[in-house]
Amino acid sequence: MPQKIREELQKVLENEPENYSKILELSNKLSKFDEDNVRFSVDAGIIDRLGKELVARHETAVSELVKNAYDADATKVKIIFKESNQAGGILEIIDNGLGMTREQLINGFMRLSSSDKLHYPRSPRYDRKRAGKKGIGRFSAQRLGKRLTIITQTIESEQSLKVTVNWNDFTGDSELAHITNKIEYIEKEKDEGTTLIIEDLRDSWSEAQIKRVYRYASETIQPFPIAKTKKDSKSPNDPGFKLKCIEIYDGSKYVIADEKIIFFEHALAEIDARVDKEGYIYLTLQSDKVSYKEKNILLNPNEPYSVLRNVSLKAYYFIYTVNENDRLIPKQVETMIREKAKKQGGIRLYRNGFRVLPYAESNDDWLGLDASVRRRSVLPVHSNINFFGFIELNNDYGEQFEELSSREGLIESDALTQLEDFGYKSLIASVNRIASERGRKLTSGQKDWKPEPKPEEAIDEAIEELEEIVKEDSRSENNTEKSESTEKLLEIAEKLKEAQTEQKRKTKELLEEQNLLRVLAALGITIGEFIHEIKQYQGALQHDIKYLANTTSINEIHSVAKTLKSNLDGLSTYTSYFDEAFSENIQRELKPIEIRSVVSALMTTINEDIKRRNITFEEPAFDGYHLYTIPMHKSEWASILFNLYTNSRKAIQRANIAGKVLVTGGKIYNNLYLEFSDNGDGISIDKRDKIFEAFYTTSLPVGKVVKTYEEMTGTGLGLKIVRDIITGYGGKIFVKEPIKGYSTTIRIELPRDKEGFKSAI
Amino acid sequence: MQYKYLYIDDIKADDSEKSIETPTSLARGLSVDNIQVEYKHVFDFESNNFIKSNLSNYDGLLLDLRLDEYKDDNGKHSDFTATEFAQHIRTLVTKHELDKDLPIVLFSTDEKLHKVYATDLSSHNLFDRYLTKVDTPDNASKKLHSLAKGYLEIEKCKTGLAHLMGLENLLDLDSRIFSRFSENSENIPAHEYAQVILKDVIYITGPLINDDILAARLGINIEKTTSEDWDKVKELFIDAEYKGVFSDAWNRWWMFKLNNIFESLFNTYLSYLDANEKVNLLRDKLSLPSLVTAEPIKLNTSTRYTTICKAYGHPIDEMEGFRVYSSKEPKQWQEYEYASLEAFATGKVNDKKIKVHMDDRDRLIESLEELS
Repeated sequence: MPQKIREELQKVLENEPENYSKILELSNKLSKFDEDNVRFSVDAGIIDRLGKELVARHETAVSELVKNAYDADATKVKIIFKESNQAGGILEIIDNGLGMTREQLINGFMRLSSSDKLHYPRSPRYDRKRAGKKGIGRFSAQRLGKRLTIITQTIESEQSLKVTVNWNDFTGDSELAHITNKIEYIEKEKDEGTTLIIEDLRDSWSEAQIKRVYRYASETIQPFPIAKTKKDSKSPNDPGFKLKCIEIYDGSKYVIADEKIIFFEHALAEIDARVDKEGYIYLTLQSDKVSYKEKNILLNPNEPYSVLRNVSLKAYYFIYTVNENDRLIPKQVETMIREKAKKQGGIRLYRNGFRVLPYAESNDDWLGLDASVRRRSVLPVHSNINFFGFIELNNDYGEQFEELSSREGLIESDALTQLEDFGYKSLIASVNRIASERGRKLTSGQKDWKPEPKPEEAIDEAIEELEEIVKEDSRSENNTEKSESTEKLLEIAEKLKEAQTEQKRKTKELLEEQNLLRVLAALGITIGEFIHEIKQYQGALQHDIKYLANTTSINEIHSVAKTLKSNLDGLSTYTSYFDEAFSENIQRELKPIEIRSVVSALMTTINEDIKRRNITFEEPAFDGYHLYTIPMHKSEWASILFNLYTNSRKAIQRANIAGKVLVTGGKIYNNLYLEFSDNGDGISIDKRDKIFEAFYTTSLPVGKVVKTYEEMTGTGLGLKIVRDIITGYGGKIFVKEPIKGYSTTIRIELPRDKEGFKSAI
Repeated sequence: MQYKYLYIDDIKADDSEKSIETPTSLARGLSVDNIQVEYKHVFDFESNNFIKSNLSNYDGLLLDLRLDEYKDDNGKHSDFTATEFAQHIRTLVTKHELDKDLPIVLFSTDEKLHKVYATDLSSHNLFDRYLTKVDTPDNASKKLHSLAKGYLEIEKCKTGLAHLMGLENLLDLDSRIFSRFSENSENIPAHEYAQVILKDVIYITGPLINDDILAARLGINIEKTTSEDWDKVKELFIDAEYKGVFSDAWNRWWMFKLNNIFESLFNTYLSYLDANEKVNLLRDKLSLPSLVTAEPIKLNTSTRYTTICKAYGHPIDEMEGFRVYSSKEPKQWQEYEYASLEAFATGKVNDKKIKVHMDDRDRLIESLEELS
């Protein structure tokens, strides 16, 4: 038997010396007759087994391939998903890394369990700590699609290598070594780098999954511009690494994930500053989250820099979550950004496109940001980890700055001192502006970057992810044992979902109840205010009745009856107003509210009151038609206006003058506004935000012996509730500069219902 | 002459301390010189054949709407509401088992009226009017008096409808108004006459108009015109004043007479002129330069006023107005009520809970959208 094989092998060696597969196969067969030794052989099915066991999820698989590119010292990786929303699409991973030589391809990529990474833990060109896991790459490719094409070239190579691997060939019962993969030499398409083309994808790819790839690979990503590198340098600084995930379908191209989408969209503010050719700093600051933008703010009007010219700064400002109620960055992204910022946050320095070290390396606080936080002279957060940014020195070839020969920074000079000052000043001016913008809106209640914190969204997301993972896993497994646990997991996910739905319903109920209670509380307080008025009527009525009982003069009786009637009418205006407010409240129906109507209802009610107090309620002035709020409780307006009126009344009382009150209103774009002004004693600037806080009161402290209503009206809860109502509808309330002729103007802005008039007619 | 009303409630008079509704006070409050209101509990009313034997002693009846609510000490309450009693009485009269027909007025709290009465229209022609217990209008007693008096007049004069209406004949009126009384007029009970006269003619604008519409059609702003001046204007048209039954409590004007008088005075037609022209003629005629012309409501331009805006009470040309929803469609000789665009645009209509008629809704929305 062995003899026959030997002869056949001999024949092949003589006649077809290039039929390596045949030679290999025969030698292998032959070796099995070795009576003194035995050898392991490898079944081709191992590729499939290993692939599935080592790489469970397809997002992980792609991110592993990205890490391989990083390890190959690439600076840019582009991932293109073509028609991948269904299984069978194409995935291309294109990097500009070092590429592979034929030897590296054969001994590295094509050799299972190669130990390159163990021998060389850091990358050759940029000295990167390698991110990829040992030998996972090829299995990732196998996990992802049925066919893999590798095109790779190194800087020295004259041609590109192209290897095609058909993973379907690796079926069981054949010898691994016998499966051949075609290698070709083709014309170089670029200087260096590797392109992986994975065809016939096994999975479909959703947008969320593509974004996850980016997140999983984010440890390699630096949200800074790519720096230039000097070719001659022995170990140049790492210029940075960028990843872009693109999806192409129906011929259109969509960027699904890049640093802008994943990182910078979550920044609270974008800061651009520059020093012009005369030494002046101009700052441009923009924050979509607090709807703020200001261009070219001059920061050093009277003291231009003596030497510093033509530098610019660009930075993104992040505030991390301290309090769940004030979350600025979605949870699952925040962890990633914060981790990144710990290592890479700060303001880097680039000179003519090259990064200058050690500025903004971890532990380098060259702008003194961390030190400034420790001094606590500036309150808004502004540590290095709150920024990703850089300062650029352009067209500077030693005129302003010189680098130390040791390449450890710039030589100390006036220009450097001024540069540090420029960086610090621009950032501090920015954070202060943003804080005051936020602060104003925070205290006036607007949080329009995140109206309500919603933990249930996080739960929804978690459930979705759980389901997705379980379903994916079950798809890639044919083992019955596992599919049982998969079933169980799916069941749990279903239960979670049901519980979540129930939870949402209950939350909604609670919210409705809370709203109702808030309205009732507000009404309660306003009624409390007016018990005082009502008591005055009561007193007058009692005396008149007593008089009636004792008098005999018909004329007197007639005149007293008149007084009785007018007092009773006064009393009735209050009761009917509250009656309406309450009965509308019981209906609990939200309706667009026309602000003219609610103001006129208020005026009718307080008519008697203002007469007695010598207050003039000027004819309200409204601008434009269709002044409807988004649907609200009518009684909420009763609370709002009553509270504003009683506050004005108190202010007028304190000022001890002939009072006047004016209400004006109108619309601006999608909002309407209402301004309530009085000529009372005014609110000083430092107290303008405080009046909306709970328990803040401008009323004098109540004495020891108090009536309940006095206690109640003195609590300072009124305006707080007013604010809660207004902000609950996405509006704001604040004290603005008083309008002419008045000392206090409170302005309310609320979203407008443009179609509100339809429901009213 | 003094008329006696009977007031029925399910609240006991001696409960007054427990209850806010105090029948005795209410009865006393409505009683003036020529009206006397007597209170009785619903149990007294429904028992011992009271209705058949005693109701004829009264000239009118005030009924609380929900007579079936309050229980007595034994836990018993009446099974009937005002509707059942009213129907019972109307039937007794028609069958001649009760020899006196009398006005029946609902007297209830606003919420109850709104909840039951305003929703179910089938009982409406049982009652002549409704009064609210809280904020009872000042002229309530006057109207009760007029109703009682009117019923007696109708009873006496069923064959003389023209006379009842204060007219020489009915030729100038739409014949459909009174067509049902052309046959069998003697046997039709008085309350049927009253229903038609009150609800089809007096309450609603049509052949009869009220002071506000009179002013509008003459082009006058009555808010800015002194009452002396206004009285002089009315004096000029005094022959058009409604003098028929119930006219002592409802001031109305015959529109056809107004037209005739105007024509004879000025030799032109009322409907030919705009407000300025009409007021100028009146100023000259009456030597009243201070008479104030009504200006159009904002957003309107026409001064050929035909009616008033229900929200503002100010004259408008109905061509520029929008019809207002009501639970009953007007009959052929009656007119719609209108509200102005400005009232809809400023939400003024909300104050009075005015809604647009469905047929004018689309046109209104178009006009409103033009304003945004």
